[in-house]
Amino acid sequence: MRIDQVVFKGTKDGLLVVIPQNQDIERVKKDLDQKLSRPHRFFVGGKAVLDLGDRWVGDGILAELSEIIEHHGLKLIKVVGPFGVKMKEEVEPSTQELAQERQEDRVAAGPLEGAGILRRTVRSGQRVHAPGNLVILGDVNPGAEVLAGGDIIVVGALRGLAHAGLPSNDQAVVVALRLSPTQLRIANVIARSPDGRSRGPNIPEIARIREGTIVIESFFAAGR
Amino acid sequence: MGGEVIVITSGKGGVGKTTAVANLGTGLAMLGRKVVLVDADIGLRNLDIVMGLENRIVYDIVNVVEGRCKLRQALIRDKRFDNLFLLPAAQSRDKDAVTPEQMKALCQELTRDSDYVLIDCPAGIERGFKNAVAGADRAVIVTTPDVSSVRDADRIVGLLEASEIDSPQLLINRVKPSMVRRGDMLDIGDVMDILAIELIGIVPDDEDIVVSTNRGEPAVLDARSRAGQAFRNIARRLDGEEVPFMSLNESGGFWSRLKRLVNIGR
Repeated sequence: MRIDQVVFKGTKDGLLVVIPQNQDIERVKKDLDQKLSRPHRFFVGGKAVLDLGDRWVGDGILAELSEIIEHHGLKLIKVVGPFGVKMKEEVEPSTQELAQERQEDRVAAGPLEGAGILRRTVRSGQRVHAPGNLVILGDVNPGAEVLAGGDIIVVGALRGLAHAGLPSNDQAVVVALRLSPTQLRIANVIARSPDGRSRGPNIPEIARIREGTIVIESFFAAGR
Repeated sequence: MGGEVIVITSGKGGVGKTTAVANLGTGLAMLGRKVVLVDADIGLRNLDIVMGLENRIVYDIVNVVEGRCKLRQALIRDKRFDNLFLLPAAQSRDKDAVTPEQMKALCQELTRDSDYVLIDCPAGIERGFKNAVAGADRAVIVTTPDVSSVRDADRIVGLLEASEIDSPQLLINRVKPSMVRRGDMLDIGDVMDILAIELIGIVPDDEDIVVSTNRGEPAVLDARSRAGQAFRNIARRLDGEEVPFMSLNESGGFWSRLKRLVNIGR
C-alpha cells in the first residue's frame, strides 16, 4: 500500500477513504479531489467513511475534506481518527451499530484502543473529544484540551484543560493520578487553578460538583 | 473617537515580541490608559501565560470571529489592572482560522472602547503576520542585536511599507553592553545604520525577565528591574511623551572602540 497517497477501500459501510499519515495536507486534498473525479459520476449517491488514522487535523481541514468528498456526490457518514469515531448527524441506527463494530476493529488494528481510551500524551494544541467516558493513559499537558460526555480519567498528570459531562451531566467526575489542571469544567461549571505556583499534593485526586461548585479531594478519601 | 492599534512584530522568533507586548501593555495600563492585548499567534498561544491569565481562558479570538461568543465575553480582565484586557489566541487551531479582513473588523471594534490595542504578531511573514498587521495603525519592530534578527527586521520594514503602515518604530531588545564592548554583538549604531527607522527604545538583557515571564508577572511591575524601567519608558514614548534614553553603562566605550576598529581596517 502506498502510504503517501489517499487510498480507497470498499467496505460494507461504503467507501473507506484512508488519508496518508505524513503527506502534506494540501497535497492530500488535491489527491483526494483527483481520485474522486472519475468519469460518469462514479461515486454519486454512495456512502463514505473518512479514516484519518493517527493524524490530527483541525476542524477547518476536516470540514474541507468532507466538503471535497460531498462535492463528488458521496454522503460522508462518519469520520474515524485519533479522537475516536465522530458520527455525522442524521445517521440511521443501523449505521450506528456498524460504527461500533468498526471501533472494535480498530482495537486490534491500531493505536486507538476502544471507544474512549487513548494511550498517549495529549500535547499543547491537541484536543480529544469523546462522546462518552474518556480514559487517557498518559499525561494531558498545559494547552491541551480533553472533553467528554461522561467522566474523564487520566492515568498520568492532568495539567491542561478538562471538560467532563458535556453538555450538562453534572454527575460526571474528573480523576487523575496528578490533578493540576489549568482549568476544570464539569457540565456548565468552570473552575480555574489558583494563581501563583501552588502545586497540589502528588496523590490521585477526584473532582466533582458539590453544591454547584467543583470540589477536589483525595481519590482515596472520597466517599465513593 | 477610537484608539490606536499597534502591532508588535519582528519576523524572527524568540526576540521578545510577546514579552514586549505584555510589558508595554501593562506599562500603558499603569499610565491609566485603557488597553487591549490581542494574541494573534493562533496555535502557539503564549501571551496569556506571560500575563499569568492562562487559567481564565474560556473563549478565544477564533470563537469571536466565528460568532460563537460575543467579543466582551472573550476579553479577560487583567489580575492587576482594571483597564487592561487580553483577547487570547486559540491553541487547537491554526492561523487560517482567521482572515485579515476579520482581523481588521475586530481591531476596529476593539478601538471603539479603548485607547490602545496591542497585537502580538507571530513569527514569520505568512498568514499569521498578515492577520496581525491587517488592522494596525502603527508598528513596533522588535529586534535583538544580532545579524539574523536585524536581517529579518529589515524584511519586515519592507513588508510593512507594502501594507501601508508607515514609519514603524524600532525596539532593540536584550542588549548586553559588555558583549557590545567586546565586539561580540552588534551595537545600537550598527543596527540603526542598517534599518534606518526611528528608535523607540533599548531594553538591556535582564535575567529577571525569565523569572517574571515564568511567574506571569510582567517586569514593568518590578521597580528594581532594569528591563522593566526600559519598558516603562517605552510605554510612555508610545503614549506620545518625550522620555530621554536610559544610558547603558559605559556606552561611550563601544563608540570609541568602533571608531578605532574602523581606523585600523583602513
